[in-house]
Amino acid sequence: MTPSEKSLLLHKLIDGELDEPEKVAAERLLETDPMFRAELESLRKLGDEMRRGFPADLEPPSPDFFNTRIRHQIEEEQYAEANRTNSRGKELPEPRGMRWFAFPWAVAAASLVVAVALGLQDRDTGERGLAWAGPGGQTSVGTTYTPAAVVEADAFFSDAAQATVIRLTGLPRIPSEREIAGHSAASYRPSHVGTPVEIRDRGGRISVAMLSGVPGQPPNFF
Amino acid sequence: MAPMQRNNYHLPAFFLAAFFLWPFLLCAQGIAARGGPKAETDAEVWGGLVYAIEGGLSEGEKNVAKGPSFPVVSLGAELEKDLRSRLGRVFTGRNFYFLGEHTQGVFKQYESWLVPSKDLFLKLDSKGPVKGGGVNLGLQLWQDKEVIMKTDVILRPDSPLFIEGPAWRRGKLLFVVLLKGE
Repeated sequence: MTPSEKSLLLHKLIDGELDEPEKVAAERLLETDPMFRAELESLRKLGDEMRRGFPADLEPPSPDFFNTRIRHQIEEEQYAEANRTNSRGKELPEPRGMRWFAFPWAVAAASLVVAVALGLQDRDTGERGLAWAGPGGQTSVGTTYTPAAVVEADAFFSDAAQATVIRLTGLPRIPSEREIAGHSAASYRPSHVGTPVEIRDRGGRISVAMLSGVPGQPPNFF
Repeated sequence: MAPMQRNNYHLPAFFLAAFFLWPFLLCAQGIAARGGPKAETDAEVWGGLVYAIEGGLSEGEKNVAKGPSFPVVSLGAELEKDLRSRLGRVFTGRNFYFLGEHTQGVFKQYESWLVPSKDLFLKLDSKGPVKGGGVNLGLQLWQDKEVIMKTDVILRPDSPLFIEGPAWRRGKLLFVVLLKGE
């Protein structure tokens, strides 16, 4: 007998579905095959444990198990409904705080109003997520991030200057011998892909040509 | 030798293609002549690079006219006066020299750069105008090839942002950002 035939026989034995020839074969195996016997014992123990795990008043799991649970739920609700009516069949009032839930459409409408209000507020101001936001007329700074661990950013509003300040500390000093050169530049227009933007001075002369395009990469100046 | 057969179908096809293509060619020519594609902006900002030093210029920093030996730019008198006054209230006891300035429209759909100097400059990403006047910006402060700070800012009119940057020579470099009015 092949292992799969033995397994099939074992399961039929557990389920009590053996016909006469199979019963004979099973009995023979129980006498001669200790592995078969051990497997049967193991399955029976498992069955006992499962039966202990389920209360006696509930049917064991089966395709109909969940239907049964639903039926019980409906019965419980019907019982509760019956208890809410008095002896003359008049419905007793629900607790005041629970009345809202009797109107799911009202709850849904209220949720919709709140969601729309929040959405509009977010879109109008764009201020959501800011760690610090000044009053209406002040420039405000959100979360600051410094890639270098030694650099710290501290943001505050100066009442005296009516200005917002970000103080960066820990930056390396720029060598004194280095010349820092600036210019007076007018607004530029975006360039075509792959061509540098031309930043011009107020007289129209090109001060700087700058090529950027790869996000996160530094621009190149010419 | 047989004479070469000329394909007469090519001529109408050429004129047909030219008829449909010429508007595109004109547009391309117009864009090229104007120096770049038209881009809508959310705001216009002004950026300045300032050298702030304690006390006056040293002898080595003065030119023959007793002005600074390093190049400076001149702003409008009103703007310069206002900024000097405000800067002086935050960075007390310092003198301020404007090394560079740049006025730039903040593009709606493109990154924008505020480059008063190639040494210290700012990348701006618009997140749109805000209620009550102003613009929400993503900022990246760059020094040469490095980002040294990233932040989100709501820039309001008449409320400048001062960024205290690296030390240089006897003082510090400051980056000033200001939302320009309508």
